[in-house]
Amino acid sequence: MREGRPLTPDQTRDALDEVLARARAGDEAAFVQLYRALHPRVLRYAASLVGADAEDVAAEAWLHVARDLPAFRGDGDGFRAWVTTITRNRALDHHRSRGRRPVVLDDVLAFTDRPSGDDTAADAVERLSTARAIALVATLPREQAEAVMLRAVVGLDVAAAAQVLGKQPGAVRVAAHRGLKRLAAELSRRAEPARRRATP
Amino acid sequence: MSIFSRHRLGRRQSEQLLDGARPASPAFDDLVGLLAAARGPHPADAELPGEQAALAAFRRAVPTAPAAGVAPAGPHLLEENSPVRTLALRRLLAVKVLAASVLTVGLGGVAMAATGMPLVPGGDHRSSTAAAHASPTGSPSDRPSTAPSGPGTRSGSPSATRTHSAGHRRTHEKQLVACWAYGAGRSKATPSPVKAGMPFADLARAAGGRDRVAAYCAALVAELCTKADAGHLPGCPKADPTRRASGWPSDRPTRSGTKPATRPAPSGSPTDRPTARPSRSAPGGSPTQHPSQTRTGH
Repeated sequence: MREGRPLTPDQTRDALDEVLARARAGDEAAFVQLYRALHPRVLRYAASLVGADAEDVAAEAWLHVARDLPAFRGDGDGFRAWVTTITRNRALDHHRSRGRRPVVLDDVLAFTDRPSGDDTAADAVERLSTARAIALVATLPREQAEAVMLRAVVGLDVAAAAQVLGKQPGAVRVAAHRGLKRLAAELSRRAEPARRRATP
Repeated sequence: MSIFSRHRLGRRQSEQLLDGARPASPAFDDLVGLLAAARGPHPADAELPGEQAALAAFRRAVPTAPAAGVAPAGPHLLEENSPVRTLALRRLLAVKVLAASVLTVGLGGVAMAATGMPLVPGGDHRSSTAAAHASPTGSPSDRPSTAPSGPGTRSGSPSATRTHSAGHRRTHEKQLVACWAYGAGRSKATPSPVKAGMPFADLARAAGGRDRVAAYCAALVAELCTKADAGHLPGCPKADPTRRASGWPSDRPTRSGTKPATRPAPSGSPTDRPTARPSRSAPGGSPTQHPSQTRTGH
């Protein structure tokens, strides 16, 4: 299969629009590009909601996305929000069916977001730090955790995040801001003993 | 004393951090690091887990690779009464006929699972042979090869299917339910995942890997839903010859419960509801690429 250029999530709007148009017209390579660009981030978002079941949730969401892509209307930004919304809905369905449990580090660690077979030591460290970070964000009240994940990890702007969450943009701003303040306080609290040891 | 009491995180710094920028003050370096870690590295240009399953679903959903004249039409493809759309539907039907025989090959995998041998959908030579005899009419009842490749078949004869299949068939029906619960398509008769009856991991094991679940389910659907008595099976179409070749029903699940994020997207996304009313009524147009919703019997 023809492989396209890698498409980073931060790539220009036009590039995403163009790849999306090709995928919608049936271009498999373009679909793969979309998957590789968006999947890792929506998977992390899902992990903040459902822990180790994120893979199942994301897989289900992508089947849905693939199925309805020909009917999707919108641009690249809209597509990112659409994929995220579907992932969120599958995650919430998952919560309803299994009951919500707090996401813990071990849960998050179990999900894989790297290419299969890519398992160097450096990679393991990277995965661990990603998992730790997500697990920490997941300790926030859900509203705040979701706002932070959508804005900072999935890379949605305020308007798109608000659309995904079904909230007003102002509410998303406030939730994300409060979330970051809490995270900052938590990081500071954790750093405090180390600082004290360093300067007795 | 916390450094954050001296350098309070203001709204502006928050927005900067969330946008992936680094605020001027080093007081927020820890937070910058945390968010960068959560974001992870840039996506690698290599195959990711789940990619094949998603791609398989994509192949089922799009009629065919774009040909000149169809591709540029993009957004208009789905407009009612558009000639392009008619063309697309014709193509889809043509592809369906082809896919029917491909799926038949896949059924061999199901049969092998029943016989306890390694399951590789489409990888069984005997059923490939059987597929060669498949009638390319696209009509489920006309396919002779479905019987020999039925559950529990070792000898490949229909009578063997009848004598040995009860237990295997139950297993397969259970798997079918799980396919609906976890899979791409869910009909109204679909149980919610809690009633799937088996964890996703079990289904993946039966399929021979997570990446193969989609193909396995497609084969299961084609196998079970094309049987004469398929009517009682959850999710099987009721003798609908225009059903897509993959057999995935296009209906959305109907569920009660809370409805998060139900506001219609400005982009007109058709199916982003969690509780999934039938998308025909959704704003922005319904995915009319499913022939079963639009036309019967070309």
